[in-house]
Amino acid sequence: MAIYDQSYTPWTGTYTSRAARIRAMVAMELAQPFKNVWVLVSVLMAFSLVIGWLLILFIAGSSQVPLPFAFGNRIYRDGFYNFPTGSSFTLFSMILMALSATVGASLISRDLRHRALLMYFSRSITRVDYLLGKFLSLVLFLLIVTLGPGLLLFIGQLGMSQERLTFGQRMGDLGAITLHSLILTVPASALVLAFSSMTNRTYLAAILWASFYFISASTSEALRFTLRSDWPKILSWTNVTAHLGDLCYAVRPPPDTIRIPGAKSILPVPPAILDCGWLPPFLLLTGLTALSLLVVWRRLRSVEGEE
Amino acid sequence: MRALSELNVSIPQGAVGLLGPNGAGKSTLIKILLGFTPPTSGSVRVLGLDPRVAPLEIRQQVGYMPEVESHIPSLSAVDYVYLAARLTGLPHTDAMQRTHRVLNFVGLHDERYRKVGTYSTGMKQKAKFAQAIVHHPKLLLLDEPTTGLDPRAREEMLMLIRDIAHGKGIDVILSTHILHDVEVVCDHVVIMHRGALVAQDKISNLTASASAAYEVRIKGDRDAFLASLKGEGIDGAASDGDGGLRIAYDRGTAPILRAAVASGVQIRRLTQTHTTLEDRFSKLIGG
Repeated sequence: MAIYDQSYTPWTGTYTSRAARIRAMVAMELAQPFKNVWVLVSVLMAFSLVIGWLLILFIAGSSQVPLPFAFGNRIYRDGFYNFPTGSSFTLFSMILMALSATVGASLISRDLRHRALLMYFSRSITRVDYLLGKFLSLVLFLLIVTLGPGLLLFIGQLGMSQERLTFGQRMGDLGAITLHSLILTVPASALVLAFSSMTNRTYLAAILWASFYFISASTSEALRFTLRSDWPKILSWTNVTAHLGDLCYAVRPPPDTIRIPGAKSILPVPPAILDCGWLPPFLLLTGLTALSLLVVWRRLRSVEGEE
Repeated sequence: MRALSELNVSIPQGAVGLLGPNGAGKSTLIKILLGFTPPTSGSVRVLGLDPRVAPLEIRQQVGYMPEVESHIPSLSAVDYVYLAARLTGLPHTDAMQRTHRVLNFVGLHDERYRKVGTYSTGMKQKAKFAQAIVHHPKLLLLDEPTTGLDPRAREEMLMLIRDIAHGKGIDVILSTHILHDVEVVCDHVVIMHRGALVAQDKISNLTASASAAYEVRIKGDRDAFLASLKGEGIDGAASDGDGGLRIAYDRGTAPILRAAVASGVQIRRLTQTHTTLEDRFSKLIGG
């Protein structure tokens, strides 16, 4: 057919699978945030922390200065994901909260506002496909800013670390980074989508999510102070995700091959954030994730009927 | 509330107008056809498939242009239509080719790269129409496609629909309360009122069945004239509500003139009338 022929002609081809349709939706949604300059700045901020560590690793490696915090996996846990800010919140968790609010809050609320659901549901996709597409697009976007820098740091450490690690230890670190990233992104994505599905005003959904994030921490602190007990720590979103994230990493002492006088005292392993093991916070996050997705699904079902 | 009841309709191929006043149940019927709303009782078949059992297969073969604005304002028309094509199951390359082809067909040329949110109402309708036909559906459901359009944009939209409904292998159901739109585009009409089927036929049949009539205005004895008409074998004369008579008769004016002479009345006006779809519609729904 000639390229200049632009008249209407029928289409006779083979339909793709439903997975391919979800992938198309994810690809479209993933491309959208990068058109926003503030999102780009936030993404760069997440990466700049890692780039800073890579520079330090390079300088230390070049001058043979041992860096205790770079041994094993401490650099991922304390140097990046749980990088302190002097407040109840870690730097990374705040960046992640802001990004998920900016990007995630609009995902469903925008479709509700502009009644784009009519377009989606008149296509051959189900509510579950739609939900999965939105959920995966947010998880993947957040993984770009969580797992992305983590992997960059992993590669940097692979090349510049003075520590000799076994293959198993390396893979263990890689698994820990991946798991930690998923703990940070999956529940947050589900929760943001739930807030996004509750309203057709994006800013309201973003405010709801930010309020949840800050109020959970302040409620936790207030109850701790009032009850003089540590159990309310589990009510803080930041505490729960940071605690579970920490548990992903195997605690390794500094290697014998590099003798650093007083290395353990220079950077002692911090105590666990929560004193309840992994099961209660894991169940809490899993429950919240499931509940959030259920909220979205029910909302979509009611909207489909209304439309 | 029951939106549809006792609706037994078989919609033929071609361009069919789904006509009815607001609240007649047209949109509900479309939602049922698409599988959005399951019927509480009865059965539905779209292209031989049951929307309750195979909604995805139906939606793959059906294009839908909703009445309301339904778009993603941050996307360009190209991205919007491409997304619609991919969600129906077209592979990437086919989807992109079809996207440009249908956007060109509807008349969105360079504007296709602009965000849909910046479009005028007419352009948004065209983008909506393009997403409905991008996968070359067997059946196209158009819900009030000319709503909010100025006369020129409306004519453009009607010409597009007329074009797609004739010779492109796409059957069209045009749901509207605007009779002109149906007359321009459709061959058949299904008339609904208060959730029930009122009439269903070819437009030409519906208008022809009552088109043979004369309107007569006389001066003189009306009863004598009616009696003379009966004498000529014409029974279907009734007051037109405006001081004149409407005579249902289609074999020329000679018997009417003979009746006038016989009864001694003066004919002031004698015109042949044609029943329009609007007349028929008003009569059927009691408007």
